[in-house]
This record gives sequence, C-alpha cells and structure tokens, in this order.
Amino acid sequence: MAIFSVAGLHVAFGMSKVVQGVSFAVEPGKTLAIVGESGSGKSASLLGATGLLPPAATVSGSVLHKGEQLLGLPAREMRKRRGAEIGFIFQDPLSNLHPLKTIGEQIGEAVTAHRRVGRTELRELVLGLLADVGIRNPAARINDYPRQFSGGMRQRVMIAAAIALNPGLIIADEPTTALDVTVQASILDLLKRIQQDHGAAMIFVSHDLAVVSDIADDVLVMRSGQVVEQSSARVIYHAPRQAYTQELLGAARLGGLAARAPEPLPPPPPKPNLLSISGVWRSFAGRSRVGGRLIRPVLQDVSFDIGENEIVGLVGESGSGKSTIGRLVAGLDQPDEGKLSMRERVYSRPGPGGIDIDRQLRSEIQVVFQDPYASLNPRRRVRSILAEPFIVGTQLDAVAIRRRVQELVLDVELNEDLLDRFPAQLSGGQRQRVAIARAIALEPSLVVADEPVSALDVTTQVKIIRLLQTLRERKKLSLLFISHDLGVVSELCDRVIVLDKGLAVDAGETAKVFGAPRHPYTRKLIDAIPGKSLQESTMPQKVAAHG
Amino acid sequence: MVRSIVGLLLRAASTLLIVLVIAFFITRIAYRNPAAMLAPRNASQQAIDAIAHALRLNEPWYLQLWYYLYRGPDIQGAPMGLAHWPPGLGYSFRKQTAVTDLILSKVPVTLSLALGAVVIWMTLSIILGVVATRRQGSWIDSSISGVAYVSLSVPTFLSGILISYFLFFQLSNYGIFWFPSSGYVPLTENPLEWARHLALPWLTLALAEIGIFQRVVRASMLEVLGEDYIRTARAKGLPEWRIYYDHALKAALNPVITLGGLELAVIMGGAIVTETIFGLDGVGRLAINSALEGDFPVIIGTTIFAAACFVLCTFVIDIITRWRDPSSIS
Amino acid sequence: MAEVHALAGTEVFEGRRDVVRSYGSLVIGALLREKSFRAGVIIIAFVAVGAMLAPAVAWLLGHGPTEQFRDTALTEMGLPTGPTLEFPLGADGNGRDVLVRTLYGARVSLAIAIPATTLAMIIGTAIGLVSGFLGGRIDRIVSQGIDIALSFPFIVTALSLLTLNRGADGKVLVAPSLVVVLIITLFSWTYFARLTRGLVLVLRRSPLVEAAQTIGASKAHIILREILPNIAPVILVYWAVQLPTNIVAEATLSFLGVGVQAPEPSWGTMIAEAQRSSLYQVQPWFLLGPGIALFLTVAGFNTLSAGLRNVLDPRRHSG
Repeated sequence: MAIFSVAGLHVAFGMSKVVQGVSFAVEPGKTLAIVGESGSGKSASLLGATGLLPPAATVSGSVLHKGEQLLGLPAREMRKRRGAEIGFIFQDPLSNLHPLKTIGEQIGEAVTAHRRVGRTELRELVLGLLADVGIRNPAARINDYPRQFSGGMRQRVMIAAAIALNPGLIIADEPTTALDVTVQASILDLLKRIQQDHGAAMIFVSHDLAVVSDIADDVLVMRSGQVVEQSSARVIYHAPRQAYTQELLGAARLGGLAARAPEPLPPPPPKPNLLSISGVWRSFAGRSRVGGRLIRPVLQDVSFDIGENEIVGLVGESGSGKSTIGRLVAGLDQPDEGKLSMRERVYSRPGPGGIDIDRQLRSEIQVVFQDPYASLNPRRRVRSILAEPFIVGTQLDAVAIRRRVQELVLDVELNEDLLDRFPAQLSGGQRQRVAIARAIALEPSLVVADEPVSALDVTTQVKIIRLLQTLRERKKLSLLFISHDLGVVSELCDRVIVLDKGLAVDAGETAKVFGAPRHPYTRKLIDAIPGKSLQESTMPQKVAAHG
Repeated sequence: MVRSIVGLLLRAASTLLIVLVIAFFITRIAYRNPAAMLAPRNASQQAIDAIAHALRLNEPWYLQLWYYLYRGPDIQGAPMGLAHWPPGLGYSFRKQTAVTDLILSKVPVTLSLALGAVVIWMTLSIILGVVATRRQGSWIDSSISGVAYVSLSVPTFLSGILISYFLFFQLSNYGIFWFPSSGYVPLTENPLEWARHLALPWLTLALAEIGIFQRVVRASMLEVLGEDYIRTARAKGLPEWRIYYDHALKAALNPVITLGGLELAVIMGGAIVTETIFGLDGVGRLAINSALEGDFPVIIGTTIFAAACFVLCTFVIDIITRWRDPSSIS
Repeated sequence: MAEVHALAGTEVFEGRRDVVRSYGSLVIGALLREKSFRAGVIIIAFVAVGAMLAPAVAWLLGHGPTEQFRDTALTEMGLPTGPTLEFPLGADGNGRDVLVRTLYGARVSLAIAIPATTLAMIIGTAIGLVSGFLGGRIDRIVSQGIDIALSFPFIVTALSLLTLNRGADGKVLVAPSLVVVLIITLFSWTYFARLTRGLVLVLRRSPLVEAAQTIGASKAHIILREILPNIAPVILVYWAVQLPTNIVAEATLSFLGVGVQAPEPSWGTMIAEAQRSSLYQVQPWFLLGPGIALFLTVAGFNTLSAGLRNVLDPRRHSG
C-alpha cells in the first residue's frame, strides 16, 4: 500500500508550465528515484506536492499521503505533516542551514515544532540523533554553527533534522550533488542504513542515474515536466525502452571507468615535453614557515610534465589543490617554491616579478573555466567576446578578425547566427562552446580546462567531451583537464595525475592508474564511484575490454 | 577575533587623529582674524592682543597643533590638549568656558533626543517592516509603503515646522498643550516633562528615519525569506510566525543594525535642524551658532565630537556584526 | 547565478532568444514598462518644465524673482496677501511673488544638486575602481580616506568651508553656489567610492577578469571594458538614489543660512523666512509653495530611483 502517491500533478508559475501531468507512488521501505536533467521539473513536482513552493506557483492534481488528499489542505494541516510525517533533505547543506543558529538548535526545533519536550530530554534526543548520523563527539559539537562543519558533516546534520521524528517518508532532493565523491559514498550509505532502520519510504531526486543505481527500487525519468519512463530499477538499468533513458544511461558512466582500447602496437615514443612543473609549493597562509616548511600548504612538492598533443588529467576532491595548479599553469598565480616552464623556458617562479609571460607565451597557454556563465562578459555579444583575443593579442585588421571569428564558431560546432546573441541568451552547453572557442582563438599549444563540464547536464557533458577530443585531433593541442569526475577523466585523458591534499600520490597512463590502482587513495576514489552494483553485472565485458 | 578588534581600534584612532588635524587646519585657515572675532564687540586692540596671546595664536602652526593634539599650556585655567581626561579641546572666549565643559553640558540634551528617537524609529520600523512583509502586495503593504515614501521625501526642517504647527500651534488654539514646542527638561528632574518636551522633536526625527528603515527592513526580510534555509524551516513544519520572527528577522537585521548605527552617529554629532526648530540647547545648536559666530575653538571642538561619535558608532557596529556572524568579515 | 551576471542587470534578457538590438534598448524598454519609473519621470518632468519656464512666468506676471512689490503685495499692516490673480501663490513677507520665486528655486536646486551628484559619481567611481582593483596599500589608504571623509559632520564643516570662501576684505572669492556644489560633491563622493570598491572587489576574483587576463588584456582594458560596463547599472541607480539626498542637503544648508544667500530664491531660504517670521500662519502658501515644490521634487526622484532599481538592480547591491 503506497504511503505517498501522486496522480496527474501539474505545477505552473504563471504561464510557464513546469510539471505537466506526472504520476508516481512509493511504498514503505522502498526507494523511488526521480531522475532528470535541469528543467525536468523533478524538484518542482515534490516541492509542489508538499506545499513548499512560493505562493506564485499553482499546483493541481491529486497528492495522497496515507490515504489523505494533501492538495487543498489548510496550511496548518500541511504544517503538521511536514517534519513529523515527511522529512526533507535538500541539496546544498550550506545554504539550507540557518547560518546564525547552532546545529543543536536547528535539530531541536525540528522536534519541538511538533512535540512538547523538556530541555534535558530534548538535548538527549539531539545528541542521540547526532550520534546516529555519524557525527563524532556530539556533545562537543552540539553548540557549533554550520560554518564550522565540512560539507559532508553539514549534510549529516540536515539528515538528523529530517529523521528526528521518525517520519514515514523521506524526500531527498539531490542530497549528494554538492559533495565530493568519497563523501557522497558515505552519505549514500547513511541514507540506506537510515531507511532500513526506520522502515521509511524514500524518494530520491537526482540528475545522475549512477548515483541512485545502488539504492533505487523504482526509477522515474522526467524531462521537460513530463514522465519519459517509469519502471523498476532493474528494467530501467538493463532494458530501458525510451531513447532518452538510454541516452541518460549512456552518459551515466555506470560503476566503471571507460575501457580504453588497448594499444594495438607497441607504445609510441614519449611525446616531446611542452610544459614542465617542478617542485611546486603553494600556500595561502602567507610566506611564513615553520621548521623550513610552509604553513598549511595547498600544494606540496608537485612535479609533472605535459607533452605535445597530450591530454593530461588532474583529479582530486575539493581541497586537493587541483584548481591552484591550473591557475599556476595559466600564469594567474605564482608558486611559493619551485618553477614552471614551457619548452624549457621558465615563466613562473616565486618572488616579485616572478610571472614572466610575454605576449607570445600568453597565446600559447589558454584557459577554459568551470562556470561558462561567469567567464563571459554579459554585456557583450558573442561576436565581440570572440574577437577580443584577436584585438588584444594580434595585429589583424577588422576584416581578418571577422573571418577568424566565423571560423572559430564553426570549429566549436555552433551556428553562425549565435554570434549576435548575448551570453544570457545561450544555453549552458552553448556558453561553454563559446568559452572553448575563445580559448583556442590564439591557437595555443596548451589549454587548461578547470572542471569545464561539471556545471553542465549529463547529456551535454558527453557532447562537450566529444568536442574536446575532436579539437585535440584537429588543432594538435595539449589539454590539462582538471576534474573531480573520474569517469570523464578516464574517457578523455591519456595520462592522469591524482592529487590528495596537495600531494601528487599517483600518476601514469590512465588505463594503468585506474585499471590497477597502486595508491590507497586512488583505490578509495575508484571505490566511491556510484553504480558499483551494476558494474558487477557487466564485469565480464569490462575484463574482456581490458584484455 | 581579538586581533581584528585591535586592528579596528587602531584604525578608528588613526582616523580620529587625522580628522582632528584636518579640522584644525580648515578652521585656522577659514577664520582669519580669530582673536578679533572672538573678542566682545568694540574691544580694544589691547584686549584683542591679550586674547591672541592667551590662545597662543601668534606661535608657529606646528606648535599650536602640538598643543592641541598633545598637551598645551592652560588657557584661563582650562586644560589644553588631548593628553588630559576629559580631553581639553580649547577655550571659548565668547562664552568664557572651556570647550570640553561646554560640549559636555549640551550632551544630555542631544543624547536624550538621539536615543529616544532611535528606540522609537527602530521599533516602529521593524514592526511595520515585518507586517508589510507578511502582507506583501496587499493594501496594508502599499499604504505603509506610501506613508514611508512620503515621510522620507519631506526634509526634516520642513516636517519639523509642520509638526510644530499642527501639533503645537493648532492644538494650542483649542487649549490643548500636550506637546510644548520648545525647551528641555532633564530626565532626572521630571521624566514626564522630559518626555513631553521631547515628544515633537522625537516625532520629527523618527518620521524621517522610519521612511528609510521600514523599507530597509522590508527589503532585507524579503531577501532573507527567499533563502534556502527558510524553506528548510518550513519543511520542518515550523509555524509561520516563528519563521518570520525567529529565523528571518534574525538574519535580516544586519543591514538594519549597520544603518542604524550610522544614523545614530550622525544625530549624536548634532541634529542641528531639529534642535534649532524646537529650541533644544544641544550640541547641534551649539555647533551651528558657533560656526555662524566664528567661535572657532568651539567649531573645532564640536567637529571633533561629531567625528568621535561617528568613529565610535561604526566601531561598535563592526564589533556587533562580527560577533553575530564571524564569517561575514570581508 | 554568477555574481557578474547578477550585477549587470541581465534580467532584461529574460527569455529572449532572438537577436536583440542592443542592451540599452532592452533596458529602456523595461524601464518604460516599470510603473515607478514612469511616475517618477512624469513628476520630474513637471518640475523641470517649471524650472525652465520660470523666466517666462516672471515676464508674464511682470514680477521678477527678487523684486519687491510692497504696495501691491502687502496690506496696510505689512502682511502679505494670499493667492490672487496678480500673485497666483500670494506674496512673501517682503512683497515678492511666491510663485515666481518657487519656480526660480527649482532652478537653484536642480542646478546645484545635479552637477554635484554627477561630479561625486565620477570622482567616487574612479577612486573606487582603482582602489578596489589594485588592492593592497592603495586600497587601505583609500578606505581610511573614505572613513575620514565620512566622519566630518556635514553642516558645520560646510560652514567652515564657506567661510574659507571670504577674502581678506570680507567679500566672497567664488560664487557661493559653486562652493555649495563643491561641498556637496565633497560629502557625496565617498558613497560612490565605497559602493564601487565593494563591487570591484567581488568582480576582481571572478572568472570574467581572469579570462581577460589570460588573453593578455592590460589592467586599464580590464577595468574599463570588462568591469566598468558591468557595474555601471548599479552605480547609475545609486546616482538616482543620492540625488534627492543632495537636493535636501542643499535646501538644509540654505535653510540654516549657510548656503545660497538671500535674496536669491532657494526653497530652503524661503522656508526659513516663512518659519522665522511665522507669517505662514497668515499666508500658508508662503511656506507651502516652496514646501510642496521641494517635496514633489524629492519624492519624484525617489520614485524614479525605485523604478530604476527594480529594473537594473533588483538584488539591491546599491544598498
């Protein structure tokens, strides 16, 4: 008997229809995963069904909770159910926790909203919940503020507040999206355990089929406000019917890392060196040293090379220092120790005036940033944005520049009529293509790409990766690909370097590093990739591919 | 935390010092023959010279500055220089008193005016702001906004005149003398009279400020209510009133506190217009009268006093903001 | 939404997938649709027209702004007349035409406040840009400078500076109105500088600026072509917010007898005269003429700025 069922749900904001006729149900003890990309309406449907959307939204249809119709209930009744019967876990624990209240207060009020509890009893309850969600030393931390916790810990606090009154239904809206992959794995485990302990029903919203593959019993795929496909997990993952579902599945890179075709010939001679980083240290805590070593270094003695026409991947979690390396290579920052050189010529070293990049060198190293929206000037048309590198970096006249801009646009597979648009009028994928076009305008030898696809939808990610591969072939450029996503890196990169808290712990050919990881951290990263259970079932094929 | 407090303190002190020096130079340059201006009318040249000598006006400027900043010879028995406590800010020949004493005697009036007004406008602004937010878009919201708009568009001197006219003059035509239009009664003497005499000035100041603050509260509340953690609070099933007063208001108060401190500082430095219209003998009135008369020791003194209030208030505001949310350090 | 886009007022692009004529045209279109902006523009236009027509009205009525008509305007007891055909808003205590003086007063207010605010905007923005972008010691010095400038009390310092304006013989060196403009500029530039500095500090770390750096753009190029166009909307909104404050500042100075001097018609001096002589109790328009005019102008600009803010700065970066 379903504890929560939705039928013919419509959600609209004025004229804009966000959810159009969606139906689903979930039973106690089971998990329903709702999967879709941005704009699919997956979050809006749940928020609308439980009355958490702003008053400007119109919600219609039928929402039954324990047999009772929720839509149309007076606000007071809805409030009684939220928290007590339905627990919520949201995506970004930093913005979803009140910055000026202690975690003890925030968990406590989840209880006192519905029950009268004495002070000591409340404290006991909260401490118990904190221990339950795996926060060590709860008594010491109960009076701390959210900003004093890491991302994973904050999410545990949110979960504690959500399960405080033992609700029969838990709604988790992208609870792990904002977390590092290893933290994600532990939070998923926690959620699974909690569900089993409490016997609750769970609705898990995500954009990633891989993440929910381990915990979903049923899957609902949404797109543009409508249901595309709805089945048990088994069917969805092994025999999806709809083309869109298959596309999502393909993009999900389930469980394993891309199998790269083994080199049929003996390995080619190593490529000549393009960029060399040696002995680089960087600390943002000032130049002071303790015992000769920098305090709180972000990078410790990192060295590696990038060859011509080579794609090198740099993987690590947040705080690993990978972005800092990217900025050092791009000449946006200088090391506190060590040096960087391009074709044997040192261009970055510590000390004032340490960044020595002339015009020629500038055009050799270019950057693609993570957030395409933030790196394009909103007040300029695409044409002007793409002309900028030529205006600043070359002596070409207006006619020649115009021609080059048109060639650029075609290189990144964009339509010419996008040239006269403003960035705010483009989609995420289109913006990133413009950012890539700007980066290759001056025909660099090396492009530093810092998480270039992380902010994009899964299906768009695939397309951008293909574009980068094509460009590498055609333009013979090298790429330093910085990412936290091992799946993407395994598909794209020839070699990979693994960073853990500023140390390069593993390096080598991608297939070797991921196929047979030597360092325990690399192993930990690979194990944390979601979708392992499906990986097992397709294992024989992967073994064959590795040869 | 302690380090930043010390840093703020140092900065406040250096700001005040530089203000002092600049004020000194402006007034020395602006008021060309200060001894003559300060002496009583028809004073003999001898008397003027005596004054010039007493004020050390013929000594080199750097010495005069030194006397002023650190320690100088007493003038007519009044200590000179900041190295005393309370700091000696000079001597006024017009009024035959030490400047510091003069200012300190006027402070209770200005303080009563300022603090009373602050309490009134802050309370009303917060209440009206939250009410307007809860009923956003309704006629209540629009009418409160309308009134706020009007009150902030009327300059203080105009509203002061109108308030004095309607609530004093017109009422007095009917024999109602609730609100006197001028004068001051110290709090310690008679609290009721104290409040009655300050009622109209408080109203004048508060009206102008409510216009600004109600809208700041409302805008800040609306912004906070759009935040994710408010949605989380709703998801826990908390009642609306708690969400507004306990969650939203707490987070929305930052800009209100900052602005409130600034406005308080400005009023403490002298609500010149209000004090003039309502005949209150406060620091502001002292300042403008001295400025018009050319009594430059008092001019410098009141300028320093105003600057000190400003620096003190911003310092306190900085501390309060950081204490509430240490992560907001820019 | 990326910080830079939040600043640049890109809401105007909402949902437009076609080729747009220009950002400016989108903004103007959005402004014209905004109720507050329209209302504000109408009120301001009314005031501006009044100011421009002042000489014409004076000529029509035959009353100059400073001419006294004691025989026609004052009664035997010396009290000014109320509104008549000859004096549409009545006369003041010296027999001068209130309507004509009110209209001329509009000229004074606008002619002082608008240049002062604009000058303050230019100076303050320039300082804020340089200080925020270069950071380090320059920034610290400028920040302290702003603190110092803000600490000075407005009126007393204004009076001291105006007194500076007198030569040894007691005559004024420079036209007082010019000095008032300078004083108001001196007390307003700090707000623009603080605002700009804050915005630049945010943008300096954004990928937008770093992308420009990797292309090899010079600092000047980055400041002028990447940062400035993106903070201009917020700064313009603040100009409209600060303007009514400066109008009130000028009126307050003249009310206290510190700014524009009699017999020049300024709303502040007119209101001061009315209050000092208490003649407004007999001839209310003596007070209400300039009073309502002042209120309308300030309210008009406040409404205009609210409309501008709704379109260009809905996230209220301008405070």
